[in-house]
Amino acid sequence: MRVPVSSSPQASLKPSLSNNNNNTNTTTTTSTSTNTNLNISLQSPSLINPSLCYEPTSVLDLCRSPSPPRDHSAVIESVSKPPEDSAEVDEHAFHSLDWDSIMKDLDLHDTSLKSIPQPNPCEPQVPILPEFPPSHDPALFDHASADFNLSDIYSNQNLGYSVNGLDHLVYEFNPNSNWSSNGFDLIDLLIRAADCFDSNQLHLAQAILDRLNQRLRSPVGKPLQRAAFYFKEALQSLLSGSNHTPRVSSLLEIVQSIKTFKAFSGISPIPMFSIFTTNQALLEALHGSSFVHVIDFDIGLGIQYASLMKEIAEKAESCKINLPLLRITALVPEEYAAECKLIRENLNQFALELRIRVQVEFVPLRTFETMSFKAVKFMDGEKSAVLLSPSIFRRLGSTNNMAAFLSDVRRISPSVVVFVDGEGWTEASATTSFRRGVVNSLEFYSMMLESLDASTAVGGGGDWVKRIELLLLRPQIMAAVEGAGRMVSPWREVFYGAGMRPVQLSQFADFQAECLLAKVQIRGFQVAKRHAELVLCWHERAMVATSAWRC
Amino acid sequence: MYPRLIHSHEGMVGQEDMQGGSNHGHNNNGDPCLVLTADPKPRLRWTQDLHERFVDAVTQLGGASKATPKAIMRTMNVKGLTLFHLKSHLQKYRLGKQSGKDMIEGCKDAGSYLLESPGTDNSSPKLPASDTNESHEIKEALRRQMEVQSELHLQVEAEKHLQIRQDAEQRYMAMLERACKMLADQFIGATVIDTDNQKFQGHGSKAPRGPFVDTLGFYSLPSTGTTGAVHASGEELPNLHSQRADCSTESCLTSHESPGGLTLEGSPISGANKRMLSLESMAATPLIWSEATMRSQGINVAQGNLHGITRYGM
Repeated sequence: MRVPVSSSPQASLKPSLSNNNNNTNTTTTTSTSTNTNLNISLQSPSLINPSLCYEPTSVLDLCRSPSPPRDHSAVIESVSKPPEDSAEVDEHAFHSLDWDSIMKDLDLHDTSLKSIPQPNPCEPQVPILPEFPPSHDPALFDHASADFNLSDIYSNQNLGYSVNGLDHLVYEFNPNSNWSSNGFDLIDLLIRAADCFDSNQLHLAQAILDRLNQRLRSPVGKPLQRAAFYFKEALQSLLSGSNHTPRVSSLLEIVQSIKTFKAFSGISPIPMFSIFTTNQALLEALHGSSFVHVIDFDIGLGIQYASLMKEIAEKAESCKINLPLLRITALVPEEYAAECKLIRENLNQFALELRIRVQVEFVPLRTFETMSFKAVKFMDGEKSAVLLSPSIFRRLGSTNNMAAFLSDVRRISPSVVVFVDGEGWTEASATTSFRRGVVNSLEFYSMMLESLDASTAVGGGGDWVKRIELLLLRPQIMAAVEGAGRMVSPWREVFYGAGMRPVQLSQFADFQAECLLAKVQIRGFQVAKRHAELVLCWHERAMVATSAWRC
Repeated sequence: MYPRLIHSHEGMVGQEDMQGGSNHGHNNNGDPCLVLTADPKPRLRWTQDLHERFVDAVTQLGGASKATPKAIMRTMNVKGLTLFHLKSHLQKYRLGKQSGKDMIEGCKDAGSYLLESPGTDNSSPKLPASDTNESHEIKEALRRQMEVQSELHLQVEAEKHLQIRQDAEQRYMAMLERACKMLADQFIGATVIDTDNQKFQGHGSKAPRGPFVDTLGFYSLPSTGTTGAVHASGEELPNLHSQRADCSTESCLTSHESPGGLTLEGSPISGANKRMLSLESMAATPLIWSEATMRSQGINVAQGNLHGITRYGM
């Protein structure tokens, strides 16, 4: 896990509040939008530059004029259309439903909720009728009647779609009935809100979020509840278009991040597992070479290089190699100013103490998007390695871009490509809709929070939990939600498709991980080997998965 | 390397047919007597029979882990059997038990016995043809043995390296934190210097607005220009001494979110500069004071606010 610096979610998205950007949209997907009221158009900043290597992706374009309601699937590059989302809801059934009774049942006639889907003069084409989530149970809607009770739909039993992991989570965490009826509602509402993004019903989404706002006021309680809070916040910020401008972090924020990360690594094995397994994968592939170049797409604060440099130094000493050289090229978001300085200075200092040489270079991601690996300086005789994480794939945003990127990676012939997944991508079912993406992430972060609770129960440090959630996890959740709308193939498929093949990690890596777990002594964590990945699991759910690939 | 060995169960032909010119396992009166090899250095040969007695004794004593060589010796009651023989055989038996000894017990024991016993004669063996079966099993046993040993070795190495790496990370994180704090202090100090170190009356005009590039060459938030509010009188902030920077985190974070939420009591800073009490100054002041720097930062923050105003009403 790289230390995410809290202020700048590595999102490539900016809200554009004017219609102009829509017209410059060069993708095939978005049509010209009409004068829509809620104009959240999420585009990658590289949209403007025509000479792009990676084609601009238009993600979750929420302001499209909603023609055929299900057309949104064209917006999102779905590689495989799963049945659940392609099943057209029987619209005719709705037309026979009584709008008033629906609204009453939906409790949206409250005067407090002003944002009721009124026919908005600016949005003549927005369907007024709420479209129900693509349900597996069309029979539910067939007997449309005026007395159709929507509250039935909201209760867990009648929801057509299954929320696999979350059912388990909700049941498991909340056996007493107090929470259960409420809890189901909350999660269902959250998912319902997420689904509104898919079906472009932003007003309904806002209404649901308003309702949730009253019920989820603060991140307290069980892990699932807290996770639900953060996801609600993330959805809200997506809707209101705030929080998208990446901020430059202040030094004091960075100090807090460091402290929090330090505490986190002391409490939970997750951060250190990530660091050590990645480094081990690197060391194994680089075969003790003394001239190494790491191209890091998610450097965080560079903390993980301390142990890597230490190992290089040890190896050099034992082999009597003089002054090994470690070059690091980090691809960083544009607002990474203070961090760059900090990382470079401190890695230099540390290397000095270890008597090795290190060169740290920073390349803005925007530059990389146009120039690809030409923006990176290579030297003869060095062995290179590429470090990837979900963040770069989120930024690339589409399967095509991912494939293009990976073929560029292959072209530079690295000794190894290490993929560190600390966001649950490794097990997530294919994201075929925004809702699915949100659900996957919600499951993952609930488990993460649960593991955090268990870790602090064993080892103390409970007062850090809030800070860990706020500074480290929340930015990730924001980024995950923002990126959830992007339809990409499962990352493994793209890797294989690009011609990359996994490399087994050694038994040493295995033993190291198990040793780490043995030290923390928290029941519930296990180390597992799955598909040639070394995985740290919390109760069978992968928290961190590291894999090494050769080109 | 594989001098004459006892036969495995499978290869058991019968005591009488044992090759290598050794004595019979039994003498006339049925008591087991020891069979010694005909090597220059006579070694005990663990015959099938002897081994069976051994196993019986061990099971009588409650299993391989419970049985002791001395007890086994007494139980077995075989003349000429020494503790040394039993110790080494027991060890092999235990190891064999771990990795499924059933198949090749005899051979395995013999194989490893020959490896481990002191002064093993390393002359090349002359394996008779019918011994190839055994030799496979022996090799298997040896391989397994070496696997176990190398695994153990690897585990020890892994643990050692893990410790080294963890120490490196700890050291580095401490270093990073220190450096970052120092930079933060310097930055705020630079701001103070920039504002000419006067009694800061809270006029925004002196403070640089907009993206503030300090002398150290990096950016910070626009509002921070005014963090250099200087109380020339050098007011103390008593409560802040005891505040850990941690305590101010929450308010720092929240103040960042809702900058208008904090009030400054007794501060010369005008309302326009309330935004300055964003993250920097709130967290800065405890840091500054704890660093015992001599800047007279007179930001007189309402101490109570450090607790009360959190976004989540806690």
